[in-house]
Amino acid sequence: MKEIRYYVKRIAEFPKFQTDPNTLDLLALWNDALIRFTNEINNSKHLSRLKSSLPSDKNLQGLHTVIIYIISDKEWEKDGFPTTRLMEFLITKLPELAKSVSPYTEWIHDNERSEELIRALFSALELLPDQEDKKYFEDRLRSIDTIERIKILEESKKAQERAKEILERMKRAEEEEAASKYNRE
Amino acid sequence: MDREKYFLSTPLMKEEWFLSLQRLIESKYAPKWNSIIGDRITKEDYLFVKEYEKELYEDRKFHSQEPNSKIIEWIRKHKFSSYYFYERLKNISLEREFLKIRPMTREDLQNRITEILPTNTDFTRMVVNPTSGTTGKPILAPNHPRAIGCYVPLIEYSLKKHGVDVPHKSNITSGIQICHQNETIVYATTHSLAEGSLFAKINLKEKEWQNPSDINTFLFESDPIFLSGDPYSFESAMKTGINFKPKALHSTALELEDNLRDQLALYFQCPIVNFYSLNETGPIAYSCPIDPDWMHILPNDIHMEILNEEGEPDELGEIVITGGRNPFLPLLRYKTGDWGRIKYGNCLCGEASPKVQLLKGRKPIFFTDTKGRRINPVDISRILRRQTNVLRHQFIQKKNGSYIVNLSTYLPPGKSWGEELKILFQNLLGESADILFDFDLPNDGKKITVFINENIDLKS
Repeated sequence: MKEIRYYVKRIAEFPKFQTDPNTLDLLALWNDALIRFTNEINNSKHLSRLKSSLPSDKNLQGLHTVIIYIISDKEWEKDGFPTTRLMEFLITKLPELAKSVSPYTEWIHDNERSEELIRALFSALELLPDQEDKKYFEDRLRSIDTIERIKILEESKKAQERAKEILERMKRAEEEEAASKYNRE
Repeated sequence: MDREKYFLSTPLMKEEWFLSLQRLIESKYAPKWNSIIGDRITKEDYLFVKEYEKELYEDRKFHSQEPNSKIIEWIRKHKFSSYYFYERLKNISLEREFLKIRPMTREDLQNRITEILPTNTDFTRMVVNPTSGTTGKPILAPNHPRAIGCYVPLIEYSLKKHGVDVPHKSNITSGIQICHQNETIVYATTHSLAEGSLFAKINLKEKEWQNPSDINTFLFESDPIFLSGDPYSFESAMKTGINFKPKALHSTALELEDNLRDQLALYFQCPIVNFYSLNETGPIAYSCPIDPDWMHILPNDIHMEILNEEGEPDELGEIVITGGRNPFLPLLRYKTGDWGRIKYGNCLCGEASPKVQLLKGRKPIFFTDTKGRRINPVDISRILRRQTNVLRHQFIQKKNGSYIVNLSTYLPPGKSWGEELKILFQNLLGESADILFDFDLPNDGKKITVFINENIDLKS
């Protein structure tokens, strides 16, 4: 596989102006994308599984189109991957991701989100990008994992002790810890 | 002189800077210094601010009605580090739906600061500079030395636009901040970001000096390039007969009325730079050297919007700020409470950034104590700010000479706390002052007039 930045760039080039989740037939798109890996038209094993879980949520539909776009690239044919793992990712992980970041275009516009998306996909397919070892790959994914970060945000919101500490510190810090500046407001 | 403390509070201090500072501090005309504060700038901060300065001068076409990509990126960066940002940005496409983001208010800064602060906040470098609190509910805005360090290039840029250069040499005094308060910190320091040039904050109150005539002598001796302060301080300086002539006056914190500006220019014979800066936002704009009624947006890392009462973008309305460089206070469509109008396009003064005209600025107000002496409202805010229990305040001087302090508090006032407050106010206003405390001020976010002196007719 290529380096992560290659895929991040590809996501940034996603033709969102051609993508209208209201009119796209996701199953047909998945059929076309999977042919290259399964050599089967209308692959009943995978597509029927996908069909039963296809989202009505426009945000998740949009995210599906981004994944289809990512893997509709010649690079994937060289290394290949087990289609069952991809299905697992689409059915279990992708809805979680769609829920944590919306609208789906944020996965395209925000470089860090694009990187997270491609890393989440690589992780599910048990692939490693070029120039990275497993440890680095996992560390990096953990550090930009949205779901993990939302959990931290929610915990910190709950932590009233933190609030008390901040307020107390601010009161204490006033003047005693001021830094000189040319003016006042 | 506590050499160690000076070196600690200014980590980049050099021996020759210190010797120069020592001369200023030990001058026989110096005020009674009561604080040691430095700039707290480290090598990393220094490099950060210098890079910031470079961009400030190079990138002047930064602003349009739409937030630029730098601002959008900055907001994105905060989405998963601040709960407040996360909540406000949920289901919003930043590029297409910026206007759907619910604005941040002063109440948010006071009541939800812990949600706004990024979770990875390292408190060890947090500083809090006191706000004057003359114009609204005071906000204790946490800040970072690095962000405060950026005031140096920002202020110097505004002076430069008025034809005043501030040399960076350790044997000159770049500026002196003057104030006229009952009580305040008074200090001298060196600014690492100005290569060690000296800076001091002084109080014009006579009790702060060995001899009243020392104020003038000290100013002549230290010879600052500019004086900074609020219009109230400058007016006091003029009235007390300060005859030192700086190269510029740098006015901030309160509305500078046209007639006072003209009087100051005549008296001090120098350009008057009016500066629009809030404790929460840092510097926002400086007065245009050609048309002082208008102020140019100064920093290129903020986005300014003007929103009408319906919250829609308009030519005239409330000034709303997004962005900034303070890591402890990221602002997301922050409603400043100030009103103005905005104009885009190049200006005859050569500035490319848009200009803003403040419509209803922050008018200065003062009170008198029981002996009829002027009291700066800063002194009132100062007492109340120290009371952790106080959320919001209103101070009224009645026509009959009595005073009313309306407060909104976290907890009902205990007896000792109420007594302590009374003593503090009696120290300020006089032992015989008739002061009524009322703790029923609502904390509902609605605007109130914080300071009222029934003896002053503001309309006149």
